[in-house]
Amino acid sequence: MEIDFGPQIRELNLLMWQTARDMARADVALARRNFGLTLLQATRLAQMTNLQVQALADDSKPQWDVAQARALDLIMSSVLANSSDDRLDIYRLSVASSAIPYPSREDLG
Amino acid sequence: MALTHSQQVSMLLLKSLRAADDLKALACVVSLLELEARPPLIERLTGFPLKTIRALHGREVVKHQQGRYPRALGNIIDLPIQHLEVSIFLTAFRLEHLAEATAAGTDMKTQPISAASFITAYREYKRVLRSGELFPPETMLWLADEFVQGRLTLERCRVDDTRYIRSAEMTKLRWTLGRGDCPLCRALATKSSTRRTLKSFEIERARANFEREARRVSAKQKDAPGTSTRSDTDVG
Repeated sequence: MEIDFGPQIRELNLLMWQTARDMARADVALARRNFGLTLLQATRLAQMTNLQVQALADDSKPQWDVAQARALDLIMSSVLANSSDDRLDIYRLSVASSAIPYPSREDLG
Repeated sequence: MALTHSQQVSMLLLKSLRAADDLKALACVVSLLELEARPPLIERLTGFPLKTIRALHGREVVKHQQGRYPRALGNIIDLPIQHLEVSIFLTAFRLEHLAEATAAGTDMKTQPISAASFITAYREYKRVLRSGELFPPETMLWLADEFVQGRLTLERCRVDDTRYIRSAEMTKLRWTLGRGDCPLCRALATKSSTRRTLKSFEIERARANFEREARRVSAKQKDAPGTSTRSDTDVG
């Protein structure tokens, strides 16, 4: 029997969009950088009501990305192995370094 | 001579703008004091009078740093974990600085480094710090200057996607000549993650090291009690 994770994913989508909207209301540039939004998207998001954000988040598929760094495989294996290896810190920093957006000038324009 | 009404409004507006700007700069001064930056750095980034900053610094900062701050690339990056930490600082700084340069319609080289972008990046650096050795704001501003001037670059490793600082040209890195290789690749080439190493190697060897490490942690996962024997590790 297939388990339906739709409600949990919708809830996470909603939380993400609410955070993005609140951030866009406080600082549009910050929301753009953190969530990879265009200026128009960030401005529109800032104007949305709760009901509109709910409609935006109404998707049973995740609307966010996991940082796809190769060191993530090493972190997962280490965590599953309950490893206390101090290299875990290095793997985490490697993932953190590759997860910071690296836009070009055109992306921000 | 009495001012006209519109002149009075203009004067008031100018005064309020100045006050608002000063308030912003003062907030940056406070943030930089919290980060224990030295007065010359605060003066450069905020434009506040040095005398005022020195007085605030003397009163607010408990631990007064004296002497030279580290600013030799070889010393800063020879420990892989620190190389990763400062790379995160510079990547975060680039993001902020590029956004400011784009908004101002200038390029990254001519856009002055702002207090806000520096503070954001330095806070991010403090947040991710795991090595326990914090480089002072002066060292990080030196790195930002070198990056803006094009003497340092940010590369993406072809083996493991790590974003890391690299010198634009061959330079002296402590006991060796080089540009600074990927810190994760360097860490995986040695048994101890706390070993200082700047040794360069071929990409094939780095790939082999990464795959060996993936097999090693995967084997540990299989041996761990209460974990599934199914291995999902797939190193591309």
